[in-house]
Amino acid sequence: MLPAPTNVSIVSFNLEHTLTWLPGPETPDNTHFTVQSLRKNSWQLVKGCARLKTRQSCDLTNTFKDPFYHYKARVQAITTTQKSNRSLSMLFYPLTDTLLGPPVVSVSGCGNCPLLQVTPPTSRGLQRSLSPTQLYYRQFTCKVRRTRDGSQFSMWVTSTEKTVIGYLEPGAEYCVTVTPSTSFNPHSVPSEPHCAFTSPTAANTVPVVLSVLCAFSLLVVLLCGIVVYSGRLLCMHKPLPKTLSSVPLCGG
Amino acid sequence: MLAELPQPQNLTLLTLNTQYVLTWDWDQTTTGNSVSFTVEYMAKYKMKMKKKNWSRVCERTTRTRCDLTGSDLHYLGMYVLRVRASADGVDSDWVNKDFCPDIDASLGPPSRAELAPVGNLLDVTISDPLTSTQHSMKEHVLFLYYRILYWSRSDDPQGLKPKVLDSSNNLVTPPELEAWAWYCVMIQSRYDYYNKTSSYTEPQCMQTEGDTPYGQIFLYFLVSMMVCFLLVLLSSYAFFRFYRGLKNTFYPSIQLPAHIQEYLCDSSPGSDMPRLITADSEAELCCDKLTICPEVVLLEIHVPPPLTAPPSELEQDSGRHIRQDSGDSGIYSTEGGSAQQGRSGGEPIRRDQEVDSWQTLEQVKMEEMGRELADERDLDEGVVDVCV
Repeated sequence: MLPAPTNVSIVSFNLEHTLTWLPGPETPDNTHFTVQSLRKNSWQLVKGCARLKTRQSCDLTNTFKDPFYHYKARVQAITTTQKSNRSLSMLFYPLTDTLLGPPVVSVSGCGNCPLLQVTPPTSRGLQRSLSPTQLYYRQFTCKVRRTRDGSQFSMWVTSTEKTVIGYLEPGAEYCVTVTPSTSFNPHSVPSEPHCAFTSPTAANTVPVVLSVLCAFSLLVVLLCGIVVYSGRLLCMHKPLPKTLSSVPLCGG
Repeated sequence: MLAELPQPQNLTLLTLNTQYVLTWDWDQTTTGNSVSFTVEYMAKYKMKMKKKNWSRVCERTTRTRCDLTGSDLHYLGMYVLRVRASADGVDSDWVNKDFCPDIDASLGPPSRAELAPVGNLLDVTISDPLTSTQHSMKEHVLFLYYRILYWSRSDDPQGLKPKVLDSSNNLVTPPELEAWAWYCVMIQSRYDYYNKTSSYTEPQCMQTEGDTPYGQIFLYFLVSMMVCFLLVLLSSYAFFRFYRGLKNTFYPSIQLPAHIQEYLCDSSPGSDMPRLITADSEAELCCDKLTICPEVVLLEIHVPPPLTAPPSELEQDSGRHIRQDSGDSGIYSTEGGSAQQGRSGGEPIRRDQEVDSWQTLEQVKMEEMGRELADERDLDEGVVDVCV
């Protein structure tokens, strides 16, 4: 009797399901595993999962097609001479148990009001079954975070239409993280933050004004100096009237 | 018997967010004080069921109100509430009232609103209205949004023409505010599906910040320039004064006459010239003896003094003194010399006359000094001896 496989679980991401398990202790190397799924009250062999090796897993995406249904799977270890007991997975509800991946987010600028466009991710599992896609990726929680001080708020965003994030501070960077939000599936992965700057504010003019003032006053001082100096020069070079020349006037 | 007791009248719900209180009217005059009430509720869809299980909230309460907040009614659920009165073992009929929190419950204003200046704008931070369990009302009212009224306090002190801004965000930066102006803000929660509006929050006011006005910059600039100018002027003036003082002390512009300078400069130890500056201290010692002068008058009484020095020597002595002191420009020193002379000479009456004559004599002597230099060189050493 072979040891039964352990830790049988169904991992599901965007309605792509995979059955994983661990071989029981002291399982021989030449052991194969076979997977069955419960369909219409009868266990049926899963296509492509009849003879799997130790570290392989079983793709159940094509088997658990209906996201509104519930499924079970079981694994058995087999050698040429021996069989193990069958290990059963938990009951699996694709609709509520699958992990919702991040949506596709694009942020385009419109001055102080970034335009947010959220679209569902593309996935093999999602493409097949359209209705859950619309269910899953219809509403999103959108966390908007201002990078400057970390203050943030949440807002609701619906898919298919562009949403304006209004009344933001000008000239600041905002980062947007979008998470699919459904009332029936709590498992979801937020998107990467998408950051955008709002339109810049008018530059601070104080340094400019100050430097202009400084330059102006320097210029005035220079001009005064020039006037005084050139006055002296003129005095020295121009011959004074005879009556004045007797008076010691400049630097005399 | 059952119909005898009247029913509670005017069932009303006092609601705010998820706090629900059912009240009713009861005419106290119809019965005694012993009347009590029972309140029950049930989901409305169960009304059609055969087996109804009402949940009892308030049992036999004597007050005409019942708090349903703790009953955990679902916000989107539809319920039927019922009340009956009981007195003396007799129950009235039930009075029913439909209740759906989503439709009937009133919405509260934001639990908190904060203003913070961001440059020439204001950050309005809004905290959602809270449920009875301190959660956000947005969990129940998904499309809750806020109406923000804001106005400039200087232009519109009463807030009669406020600007209106609708946003569901909790952090709102109203656009187009002026710098350095006071703005007031009032916020209301709203929910359009059932036309719910809350009361407004109390007006809060905050001043915006912004760039410094140009006039102020110019003023600061001028003031700082003036201060700098004054400081530089003062310090340079002080330096100039100091420099001039130093220069005048060590390098005077008006040179001493050559004959005086000769005295000053010639300080070789071996020279016979009277060293005016170095000899000063000794001259001053002689000056001290001036104070003894009036005492000499006392000595006058003891006439005749027993000691009489040879007059020829004394005369010579005094003469030397005069010449030496005249360089110091001191009458006192002259007098000191005379006092000494008078005491030693023992001729007080004649001494006063002598002083006068010496004073006049001194001036003459000063003029003659240049000529007498040679003579004084011989006499100098003798004078020093006398003084010490």
